Amino acid sequence: MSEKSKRVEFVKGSRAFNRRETLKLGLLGAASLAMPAVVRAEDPVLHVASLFDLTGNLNIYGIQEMNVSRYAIESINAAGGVLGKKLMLHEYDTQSKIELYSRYAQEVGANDQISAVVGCFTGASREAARPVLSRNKKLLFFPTIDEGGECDKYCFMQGTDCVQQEGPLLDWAIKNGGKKIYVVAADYIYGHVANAWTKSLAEAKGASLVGTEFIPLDVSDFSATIRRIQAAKPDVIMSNLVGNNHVAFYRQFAAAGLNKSIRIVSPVFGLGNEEKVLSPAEGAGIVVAYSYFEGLDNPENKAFLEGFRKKFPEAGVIADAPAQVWNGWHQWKMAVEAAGSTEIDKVVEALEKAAPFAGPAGPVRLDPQSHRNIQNVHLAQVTDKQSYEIIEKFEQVAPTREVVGAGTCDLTGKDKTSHRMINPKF
Amino acid sequence: MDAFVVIAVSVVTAIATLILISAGLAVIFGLMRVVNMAHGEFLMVGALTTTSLVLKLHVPWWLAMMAAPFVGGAIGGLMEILLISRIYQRHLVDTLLITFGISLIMFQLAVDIFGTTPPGIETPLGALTVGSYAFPAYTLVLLVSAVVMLLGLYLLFTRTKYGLLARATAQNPAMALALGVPAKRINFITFTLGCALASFGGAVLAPMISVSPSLGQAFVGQAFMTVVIAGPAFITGTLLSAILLGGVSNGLSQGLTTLWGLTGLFAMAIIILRFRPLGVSSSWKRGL
Repeated sequence: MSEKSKRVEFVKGSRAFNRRETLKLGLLGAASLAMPAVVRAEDPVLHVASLFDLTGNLNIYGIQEMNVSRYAIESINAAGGVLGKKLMLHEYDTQSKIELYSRYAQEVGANDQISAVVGCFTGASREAARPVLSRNKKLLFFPTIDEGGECDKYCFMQGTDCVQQEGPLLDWAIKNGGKKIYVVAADYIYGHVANAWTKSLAEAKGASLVGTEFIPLDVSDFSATIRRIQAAKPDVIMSNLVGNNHVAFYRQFAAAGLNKSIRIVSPVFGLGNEEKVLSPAEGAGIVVAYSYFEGLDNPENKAFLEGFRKKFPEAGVIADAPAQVWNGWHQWKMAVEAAGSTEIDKVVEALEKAAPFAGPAGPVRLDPQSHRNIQNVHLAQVTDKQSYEIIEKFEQVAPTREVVGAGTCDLTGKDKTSHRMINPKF
Repeated sequence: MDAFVVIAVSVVTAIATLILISAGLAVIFGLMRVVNMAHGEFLMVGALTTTSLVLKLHVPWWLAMMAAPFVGGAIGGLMEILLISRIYQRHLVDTLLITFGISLIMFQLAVDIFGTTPPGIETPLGALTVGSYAFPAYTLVLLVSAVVMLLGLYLLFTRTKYGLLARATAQNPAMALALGVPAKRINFITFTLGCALASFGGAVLAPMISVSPSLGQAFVGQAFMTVVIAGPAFITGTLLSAILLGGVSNGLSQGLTTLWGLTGLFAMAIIILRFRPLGVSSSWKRGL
């Protein structure tokens, strides 16, 4: 059909603007919306998104992460934005429901304006969102500590892994407690993989596991576990217990008087503000390992906290994951500026080459092979005032590239086009 | 020998815990046939009342626990007047939806008021030692509370006028009404009582668990299971049901692992329902 006759027909049609014409117009409109941003008029802002649980039972983590996400975007904007453009944060409340992670990931995936996401909390939520985001060429920065296995060119793991946390913890435990270790771990993938690492790291350091117990996530009666611990008489307990129900373990452990004779070390205690939930007497003495603690004394952390308290005076303690949200947005910003574009492959390349970012826990530098951060890890002990006292600092601890029982991930070599999760075997 | 004592205490405590978390639900379901989906949230109200009173107003823990059922009862009573009483005669099923909606509202309100991880209170009374084992002395408080709760309910429903009328209303509402029983008032008291019991259960458990707005969701499943297994006799049935479920699950936890304990709980529930689809007390002559 020639251009001319088309126009004629359109004019003719417009006399009685029928349904088919309306439909065509609608499709035309939709098609133009779906065009890449470059084709349309230049967008004056850069769009980014966060998926966190603001409601539902996981909001103990999600609310603070979203707060820091807002704060990071605001402070990047205040400093002039990225590539001279302001950032606009699209907030998605995933309501602690896995299906909403998939749905919102679809929504972000279909939105051509959004180029990067900092979000998700549990490994399961990440695995609901990540494949969708990755397929649609959206970068994902995942702020939580995790057990490893992620091997996706478009995904960056901000938190420390099991080796980065448990290595220092076990060193401390063997030196200050003893060599007999009892493991209590949450009965899901994290707990099992973490336990596999505990076992191999402990044996390499000459310690032994005198008991291992996996606890289903909905259990909050620990009387059987506590009896077994007393029978095994360990020097130290390695706790990989997760979630609100499991906080009861520390309470019942203290109620049986065991906290006076057996030390607890944990790479996950504190993620949900356990130190505030427990009374001062119950929590005191538990040793944890994270990259970030509010009490870190450095200028970056001081500025970070000052700005955050000004924006959210009531928001409570910042744990490791929210601080990683801050790192994620800033590492992304540095990479976009180095790449001069938000085009995903260029940004990934820039991220892999990026200089360290001076975060509130010290420098964070991306390990290109694993897409994880080489970062400082701090050991801290819960005080009798429900806070942390830093007791040891491990500078620039490297993540592992190994996935338990399933080989390695190398995103600059054999896995450079990988968009998958390598399932650990245990 | 010392291990045996510790295991026995632990099993009995598990049974007491099931009674404490399910008695309120059992009363409301047994007498009104209303399934209170907000039951878990009333456990939470009781627990949060206790921790708040202890931490903010420095009330002794046992006094705070006594106050909890009044708070829960007040909220429950209000809910009955405003919502439940208006719908339940005609549309029993709608009460599911209404109470579920209320549970969501109560959860979110609790998050808004207390935050997601409010501070808890530690277990009072210290530890008891048996041979080479130690266990929290407070578990005995759980045990006594459960016994007092069941005994109190039994006396209430056998020795008081309200108890008699409530049972009459439950057995034959139309006849009770015709004979001049103020059914509306009776239902109001029953619902309030159920909510108060739930809050008391939550309050007594508070020093042993982590108290947060999501506490209800953690316990409501077990409470429902206990009530369903109990069947029509809402006091003695609940007792037997708690003994079976709590005994099996904690016994397996002690002997094998916690996972086996949880599996045993569900397996036990399935087996009982296979042979007694209406609950363990379905064939009993007298229903209390």
